[in-house]
Amino acid sequence: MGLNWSDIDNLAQELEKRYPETDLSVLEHDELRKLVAGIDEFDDKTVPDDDTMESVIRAWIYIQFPEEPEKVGSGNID
Amino acid sequence: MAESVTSWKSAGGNNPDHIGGNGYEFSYTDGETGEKKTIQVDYGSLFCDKKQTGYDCFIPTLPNCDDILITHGHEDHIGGIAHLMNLRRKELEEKRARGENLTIHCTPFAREMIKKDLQGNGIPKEEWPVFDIVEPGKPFEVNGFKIEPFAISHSIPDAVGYVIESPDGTRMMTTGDFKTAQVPLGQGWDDKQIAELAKKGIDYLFIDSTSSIQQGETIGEAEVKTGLKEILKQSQGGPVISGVISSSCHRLHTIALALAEEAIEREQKFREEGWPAAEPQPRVMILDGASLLLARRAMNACGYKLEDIIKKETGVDIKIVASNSKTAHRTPPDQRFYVCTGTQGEEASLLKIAEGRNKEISLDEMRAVGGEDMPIYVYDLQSCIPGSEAKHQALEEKFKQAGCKTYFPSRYKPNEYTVHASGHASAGDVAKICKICAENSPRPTMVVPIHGDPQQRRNVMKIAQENDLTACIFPNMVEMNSLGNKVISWEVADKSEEWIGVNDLNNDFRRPYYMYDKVEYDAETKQRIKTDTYKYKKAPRKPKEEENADAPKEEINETEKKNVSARKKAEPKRSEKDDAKAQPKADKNNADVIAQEVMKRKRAKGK
Repeated sequence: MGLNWSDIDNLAQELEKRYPETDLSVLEHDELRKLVAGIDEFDDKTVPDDDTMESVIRAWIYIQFPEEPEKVGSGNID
Repeated sequence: MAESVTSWKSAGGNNPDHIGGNGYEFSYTDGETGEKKTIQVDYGSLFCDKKQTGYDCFIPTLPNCDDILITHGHEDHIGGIAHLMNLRRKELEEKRARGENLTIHCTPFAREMIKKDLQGNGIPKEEWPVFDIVEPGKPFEVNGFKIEPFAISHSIPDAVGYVIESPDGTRMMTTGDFKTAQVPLGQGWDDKQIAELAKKGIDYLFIDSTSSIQQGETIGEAEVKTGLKEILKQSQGGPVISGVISSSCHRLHTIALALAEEAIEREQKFREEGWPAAEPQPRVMILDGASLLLARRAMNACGYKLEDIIKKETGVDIKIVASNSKTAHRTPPDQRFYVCTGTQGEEASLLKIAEGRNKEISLDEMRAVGGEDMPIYVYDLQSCIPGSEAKHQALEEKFKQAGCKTYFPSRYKPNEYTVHASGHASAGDVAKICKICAENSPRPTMVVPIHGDPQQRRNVMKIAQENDLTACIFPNMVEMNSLGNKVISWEVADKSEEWIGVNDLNNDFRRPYYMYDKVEYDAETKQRIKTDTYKYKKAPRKPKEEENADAPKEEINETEKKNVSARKKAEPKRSEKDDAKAQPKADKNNADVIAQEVMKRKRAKGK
C-alpha cells in the first residue's frame, strides 16, 4: 500500500533518506510537495493543507535533529 | 434580587514556590437570571523534575469555558491546551457536532506555537480548536465581555495584555508577562496606548511580578546588541558557537543585526586602511537544533523574515541556514556563527558539540580545516536559569577542556558583556504601569500581583502603594468577587492546590502516551498527593493502525495485563524503594486508596 499525506512519520523518514541536506528552516510548501512527489511509494493525489505539510516538516526536523522540544516559559527562562 | 457579580480566580500562576502553570478565570454572574459567563486567560504548564515528582509537568484544573485568551506563546501560558484537547475530547466532539467550538483568541506567533504543541502531542487536526487572531488596539467581544488587546514587550514576539470589561462595566487589565523596553520584532510596549486604556477606567490591574525585585527598568535588546558586538570584536580568526533559547526571536534578530553591523564596521576599517572597497561580509548564521528551526519557521510564517528585516535596517545581506545544509558545510570555519539549542547544558546541540556527538558540528572537523591553532569561541547568550547551575557550569568546563574560549554569563554577579536581557518587568517597569494608571484612570485602581513567588508579589504590592494605588495579594485557588471597583468577598477554595499531573508513560516526546492524575499540592508541607486518575478517550487513529499503537507495552495487551496483574498478586510485598521506582506508572487502585485517605483527612478537618 502506498504512502499518503496522513503517513506523516513515514513520509518524513523517506524524505530524510533522500534529501538529508535540505534546510528545513526555510523549506517552502511548494518545494515539499515536489520532494514528496519524488518518493516512489507515494500514492496520493489529494492536495494537502498547510497544517498537514507543516506536520510533515516538523516530523522531518525531529529526524534531522533528534532532541526534545525546548520547554520554554518563565519557569525556565527569563 | 441578587446583585450581579464579577469574579476573578487564579487556577494557577500564583504559586508559592514555582513560576508557571498560568490560568486565570474571569466570570460574570447575572443577578437577575443567575446565568454565569466565563472566559479564561492563558492555560499553561508548570515545569517540574520528573525524577522528583513522577510527572512531566502540571497543568491547572480544566477551564470551565470555551473561550481562552492567550497572552503569548510560552509554554507556561499555552502548554495546557493540547492536554485540554485530550481531557475534553468527548465533550468537544459533541459540541463540534452542534457547531460549537473551543476558541483560542491569540496573536499569530502564539498560534504558531500552539499548533506546534498540538502536532507534537498527537492531537488530530480535525480536533484542533478554532483560532481567532487578535490584534493590539482592535477590541472584540467574547461571551458578553468586551476585550481590548494591547501590545506589550516580552522575550517572544506578538505578546499582548488585555483589558477585560465585564457586562457590569468592571474593567480589569491583565498585563501578561511584560517589560517596557522596546522590542525589535512586531509591536511592543507603548505608554500612550496604556494611558488611553487607563483613561476609560481600570478597576483591577493584574501585574506580572517575576522580576519585580530587580531595581530599575529591564534592559532591552539594544544593550544586548552592544554587548554582542563587543564580544564579536574579541572573536576574530575562528568560529563562534553560541547558545540561544529558541523562542527568543528578538535575540535571533539581535544576533543577525550585530553580525551585519560588525561586518559594516570591519569593512569601514579596511577602507580607512586603504584597501579597495568591497561589500560587507557578515559571518553566516548557522542554526543547529530542532526548536530553533521550528522557531524560524514560525517567524517566517508571521512575517518576521530576518534576512529581509536586516537588509532593510542595514542594507547588508545576511545568510541564515540550517547546520545540515550545503551552505553551512561550505562556509569556512572562521566565517561561521553557530546558534545552538541547549543553553542550560541539557541533552541538545551544545552538549553534543562539547562531547563530540553532534553530527553536524565537530570541533575536530573545524580544526582540521582551519588549523589546530584556530581559536573556537563558545558563548552562552542566555543567563543560567536557577536550578541549572551544575549543568551550565559542566557544559562550559567541557568546552574549556576541548580547548575553546568560553563566555558563560553569571546570573549572580556582574558580567563583563551584556549578552542577555530578561523579558520581565523590573521594579521600574512595575512603577511605570502603576503610575500611568494612577494618573489616568478616573476611578481607583486596585493592583493584584500575579505570576511570581510571594516575595515578588509583595514587592509589586509595595510599588503599587508607593504610587497611590491599593493592592492585594491573592494565592492560587482564590475566587475574588467584586461589584464595580469594590471587592465584596474572596473565598479560599482549599489550603491545598489542585493540579492535573501530566505523565507521559512512554517517556518519548515523539510518541507520547499520556496519563493524567488529579494531584493535590499542600503549599505548606510541599507534599503532593494523587487523588484520582482522569479517564479520557484517546485520539482516534488511522484504521490500519491499532487503536493503542502508541501505548506502552503493558497497556496494549489486555491478556498480558491480566497476567501481570496475577503475577503482582503472587509477588511478595514490595519495598518502598520499588514503589518509588514504580511511581510514574498509573495505578488506579492506589489512586483510589489515596483518594479515600484524602477524604478521611478532609472529614477529620471538618471539610
